[in-house]
Order: sequence, then C-alpha cells, then structure tokens
Amino acid sequence: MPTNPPDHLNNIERALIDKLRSGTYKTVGGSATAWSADPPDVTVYGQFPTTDDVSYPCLIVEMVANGIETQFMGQNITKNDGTAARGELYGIGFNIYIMVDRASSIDITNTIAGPSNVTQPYKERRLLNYLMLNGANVLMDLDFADIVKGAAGTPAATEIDERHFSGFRNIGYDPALELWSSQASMVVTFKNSR
Amino acid sequence: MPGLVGSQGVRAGALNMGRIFRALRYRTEQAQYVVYNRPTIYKTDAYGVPSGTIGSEEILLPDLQAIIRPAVTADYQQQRQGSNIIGAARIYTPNITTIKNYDNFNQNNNTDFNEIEGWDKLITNYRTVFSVPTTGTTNWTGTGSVASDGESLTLTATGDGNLLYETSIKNTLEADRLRFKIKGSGAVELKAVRSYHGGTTSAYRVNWDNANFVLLDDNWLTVDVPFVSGTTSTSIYQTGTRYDVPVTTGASFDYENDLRIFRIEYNAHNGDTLQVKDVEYYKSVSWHVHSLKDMTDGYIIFDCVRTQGRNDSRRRAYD
Repeated sequence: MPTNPPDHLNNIERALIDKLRSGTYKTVGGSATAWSADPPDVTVYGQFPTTDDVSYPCLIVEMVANGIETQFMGQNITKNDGTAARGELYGIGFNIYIMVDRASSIDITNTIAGPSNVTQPYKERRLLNYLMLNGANVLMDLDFADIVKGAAGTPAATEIDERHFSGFRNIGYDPALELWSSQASMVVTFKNSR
Repeated sequence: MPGLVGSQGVRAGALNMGRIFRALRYRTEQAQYVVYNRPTIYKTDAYGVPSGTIGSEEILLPDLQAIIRPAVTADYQQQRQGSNIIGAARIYTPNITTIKNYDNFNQNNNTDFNEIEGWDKLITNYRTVFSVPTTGTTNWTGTGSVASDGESLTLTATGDGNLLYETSIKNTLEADRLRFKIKGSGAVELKAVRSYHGGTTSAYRVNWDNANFVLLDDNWLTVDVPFVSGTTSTSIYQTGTRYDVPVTTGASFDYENDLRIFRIEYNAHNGDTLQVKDVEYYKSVSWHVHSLKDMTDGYIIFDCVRTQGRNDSRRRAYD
C-alpha cells in the first residue's frame, strides 16, 4: 500500500475545471474561442465566487457527492498497466452551473441558422441557451488523458473508468438576483487504488 | 390628492421633506445626494430577448436627494449562485413632482426618465477614499492662471488646454467612482477627464472622453462616473441631455495603483473661467429598487437591496 495514496478527487476536480477553461466554443467569425481567454467571455470558477469578484457569464463547478460505485471480489482491481492493486470503482458527482446576468452579452456569428454570417449580441435567455449547448459539447468532448498518464504537475495517475454527462435542468430566472441560470450534472468514476 | 393638496404648499403637520433632507445631510450621512442610474435598455427581438439595438440610453443622474436607512448594509454570507442579497435598505426620496422639477429629471428635457422603477439603481457614497483638495492652489496647474476661493478652484483660461492636479502617491484602491462639480463661463467646453495611476504618462491613465459640450454659465454641473475595471462607457447629463462618455485605459493602467494626476481637458476662449470643486474618489454602494412601499405628496419610500459589492481585502490580495 502506498504511504501517500493519489489525491484522486482533487486530480479529477482540477482536470475538469482546466478542461472547461480550455474548452472552446464559436464566437465572432465562427472561430473557436476558449471560455476563459483573456479577457474571458465566460469565466470558469472552481467554487462559488464571492460577490466582489464574480463576473458574468460564468460557469461554476461544484462537487456534490462521491462514493463507492462498484466493489470487486476481494477488493481487487487491475490497473491500466496490468498490475494488481487493492481498490474499487469510485464515483464523483459534480454540479456545473451556468449563470448569465442582465448585462452579459457575447457577440456570436451565425453561419448556420438565421441570416448567414450575421454577428449579433446574444443576451439573457438566448445567451444561456447558447452557453448550455456549448457547455454540454465541452463536457461530452473532454477527456482525462493528462491525469491518466500522470502528466507533469499531477502527483500521480488517476485512472478514469467512465464519465456521464446527465444534462441540464433547473433552467430558469431568479428575479431577485436578475440571473438566468441552469444546472448540469456530471458523474466520473475512477479506479480508486489504495 | 397630490395635485390638489400638494400644490398648496407645505401644510401644518405635513412633512417638509426639503428641510428634513437638509437637516439630516448636515448632521448625519443618512441623507445624501445619490446618483440615479438606469442601465441602457435594448430593444427586444421577435423572441423577447434584448438585441444590440439601444432603445433607451443609460440614465445616470447625480444630485438626487435621498435618505438611506439601511436594514443590512453588508452581508458577507456566501450563498449558491455566486450572487446573493448582501444588503437591504429603505430609501426615501422627494415626491415625484419635486424630482421631476430637477433639470435632469424633467421630462421636457429628458424624455427617457419617467419615474423610479424596479431595478433602477440609487448609488450612494459609502466612503470618500480620496478628496482632491480645491481649497488652495497647491499642486494645481493649468493652461492659464489658477486661483482658489477656499472652496473651489478657478482657472482663468488662455485658450484650449487642461487643468490638472498632480500629487505624490495617493491611495485610491477602495474607490470605484469619481465625482466632481464643474462650472464654466463663456464658451468653456468639457472635452475629457483623465486620472493617472501608478505613473504620469498616458499609458497609466483612464480616459473619460466625453462627447464635447459647452458647460452652462454659472451652473455647477455634477459629473459622477464609474472608476472600476471593465467600464467601457458611461454618461454625463446636463439639463437632461445625455453626452456619451467612452471609457478607455492605457496599456499600463491598473485601477489598484495610486493616484498621480487628476486632469480635466477643455476648449475655451482667452479669459473664460473654469471652476472645479468637490472632487472625490469614493467607494459606492449601489442600491437596487425592489419595491415601492409608499408614495405620498411628501415623499416616496423604496425598499432596496444590494446584490453585488466589493471586498477590498480580497481585491488587494487576489489581483
């Protein structure tokens, strides 16, 4: 048993935040733009921001649950390199929020729907709709290759088994705060080698 | 019966709001001149979502008298959504007839203002962070001669030019708005306001380059503009007419750096005078109207909340 087991939860949470930040979507001219380019069109927070530095539109990643997904005979698993280890499949659940306030506006060039090559500012509900689908695209495309390989900067390899993006819900408007928001869930399972 | 009774002057037993405002303003900070702000309203498209076409320009009108009675001034508890109600106050203003008699609020001058509605903002001065002194001429220079009457600073211009206050390092970290009063005689035209932070070259300044306009003779105009990162546009109103103010910053500018120069640029004829006073960088609190509690012929009561505010310790630490 390793004396200092890999910090899987933080590895995955940080990888998810990094991937959301580097995930791209189409803005002006149809070119791909990272959510969090500088200055960012969309800010990705790793936890709920304080009111002094919140900037809209934003994505907020929050871990809401984790626990054993499946345990195998004798609590044994086989790691990707073929070695046996003690452990189980462990799951993490994330909520990912998208928030848009009244002042939020992103210029989007439409090349498919509507008049072609017309750039329009997207706001409020329209912007939220746009960000939800682009957010879903990023979540469905993302991989955890970096942490699986144990890339530089990660303390040890975390072996991802499955990930499920389960869609957006609670889509709505909070009039007291003047925020349009929605909430997506995501589950990641990994081999928790101990 | 605001029309019938209200027009007969102040009745015995009625509230003299003007007097209350004055008394409270002199004795406490509960009564203030606040800035009324309604953000730009965009036309909606056929699906009900705002487009890029402006339907009603931003309204930013200083000098509205108000009494602020906070129930909660600041609530630091953090809630989900990254935003939460962090303050609540009951705000009293004069009645709507009185408000509409102010030049900027007069619908003959400003057709966009009707009344104070939900989600309009009342911006108050929470704390003056740095006040540029106009009680003397120390550190003031300009294109012409400068003098002070102990309250305001007067520049007698020789032509187009600038009036500036250059100082050793002054901390303005906590400030998020800049306010000053300005008065011109003759054909003095306000061109721009600049604030230099961390250096004295153009790279270190924030520029409020307003659409040029002639200052009314013998009439103090209050200019109150945001001094906060991310601002690209604001407004100056004179007798109900809006002058657009694009806001730009130099490459080395940082809102957290110390103040070096406060500068006003103008066009003027030889002999015209320009007066400035009450120059202050201040920390504001922005109250959003949530409900109208009472509307009498003496006053209006609004229940307001804050949903965003700054935490200066984190700002210093993080940025």
